[in-house]
Amino acid sequence: MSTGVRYWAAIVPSFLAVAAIALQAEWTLRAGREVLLEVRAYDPMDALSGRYLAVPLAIERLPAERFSGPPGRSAAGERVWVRLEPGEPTWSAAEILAEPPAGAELVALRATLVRQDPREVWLDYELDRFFVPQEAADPTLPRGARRIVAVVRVTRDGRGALADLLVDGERYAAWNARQPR
Amino acid sequence: MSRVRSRIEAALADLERAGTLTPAQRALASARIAQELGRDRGLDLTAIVAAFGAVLLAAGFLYLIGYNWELLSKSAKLALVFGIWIGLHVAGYVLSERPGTHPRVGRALTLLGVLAFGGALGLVAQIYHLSARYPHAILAWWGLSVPVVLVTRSRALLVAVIAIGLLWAGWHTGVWLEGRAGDGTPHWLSGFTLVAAALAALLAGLAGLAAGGTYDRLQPVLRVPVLALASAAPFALAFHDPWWDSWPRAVTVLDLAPAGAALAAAAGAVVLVAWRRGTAAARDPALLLAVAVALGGAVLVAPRAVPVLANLALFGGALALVWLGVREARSQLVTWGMLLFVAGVLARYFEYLWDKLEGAYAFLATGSLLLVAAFLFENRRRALAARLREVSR
Repeated sequence: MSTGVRYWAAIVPSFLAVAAIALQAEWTLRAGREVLLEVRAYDPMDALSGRYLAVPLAIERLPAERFSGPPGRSAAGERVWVRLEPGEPTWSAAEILAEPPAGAELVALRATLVRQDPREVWLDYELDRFFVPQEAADPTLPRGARRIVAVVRVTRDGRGALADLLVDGERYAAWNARQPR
Repeated sequence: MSRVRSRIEAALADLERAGTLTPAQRALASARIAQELGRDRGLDLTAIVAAFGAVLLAAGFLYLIGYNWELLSKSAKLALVFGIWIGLHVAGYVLSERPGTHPRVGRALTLLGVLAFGGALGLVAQIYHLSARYPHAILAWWGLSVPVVLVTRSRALLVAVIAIGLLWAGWHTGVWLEGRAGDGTPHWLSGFTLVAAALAALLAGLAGLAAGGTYDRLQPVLRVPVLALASAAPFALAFHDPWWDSWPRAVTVLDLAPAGAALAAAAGAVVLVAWRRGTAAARDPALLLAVAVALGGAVLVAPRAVPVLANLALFGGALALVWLGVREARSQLVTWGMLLFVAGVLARYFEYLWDKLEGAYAFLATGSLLLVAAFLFENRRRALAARLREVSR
């Protein structure tokens, strides 16, 4: 094998990996069904990641009785699906399933079981960061003054992508553009 | 003339006087050595300047992650990310391989390309608001950068890849323990330090595999973090309190799963070294692995014996390093062994005596202890260094 072939064979997989991540996220945004989910947003500091709003979904903690499987059967780290039901103004979690639901009309968001006790189940949807411009306005302050809702796209297999934030019903970019500098 | 060069010249003169070399052979050897040393120095300087440039550029690239490019569309951002990244690798290839007119600058650009991989992952995550509980992106960054090191055999790239690998291992272990350990100090202490101990054995094993083969030039870099990683577990686990206090539950095998995986990888490396390079080459990684397994076993089976075993490993290891350093004329082993010994003594002093002293007495005693330790350390080190010089002559 020539030097050039070996060199590029070592380099190209890294491009493919990043391209695959971008393509999958793009596909989820385009193919997924839009749902609105309540979040408990705050503005953390992270020098390595750039500025973002932490937007943990309100459905990250659910009552244990919504778990449809036998109690205590699932272990931390296992994948589960949370079936969502439309509501006003946001969707809500109807049940936690150990398998993806069969019906094509059902919307279920994939999550990882973090831990559970007899009363509650903690879930991680990996949808808790909304990146914003460095100089952008912070909609989380003053605390609780605005209703912040996540616009999430959910595909048939339960994959989710955070598409936008609504601040008091307005798209984040539009709300931010109106804020005084 | 450098000290190394002077000593080589003196040795060549001795050989000429003894009749082993003719004057012509001595002159030839002297010229060749001067050429090699000169070339090494030139290479180092250029490579270091180029690597610094690459690191600064990478820092700038990563700094961009801190800012959203709100004026650019999503596709423009992606084009910029991939364009810069591909451009770096193309420039790196052209300069270092074909036609290869500036190999050191080319290698620095390839290094920058590998660092830019991390930046690209971060930017794509930023563009699509991606987040993940476990640092799988760092794992991908590390895993997909290893082949670049193997193809280029670049030490600078290996340094970056080892750093990324250690970052991933630490991060992943932290998330794992966060989900399992709660407030349990023994869980956190053993979870992290046993991973470090296993990685020390793994790196020592990889260094053993690289020695004398195609990747021989990489083995000094692989050995650099070994002692620091190997010392973490005996030092951190040697404290008494965490193992005698009561905790809601004991450390389990599942708590130590990341350490178990790292130990399995290290065991694989030890077997490979023994098979490919012989059992003598597998000595160091096998010893490190044995210590890590013994400590891990004690954590699971006899937690109250952990501090005793860790202290034995700490002080035994320190003395073994000094002995090995003198025997094999490796002064850095002697220095590390003595530092470890002093650190162990100081840790035990603070752990057991601090509570029994009060206020000013504690400061006076500690200050005196540090001064005496420094005095003894300096004297002992000087004596050992002199002995090493004698042995190596």
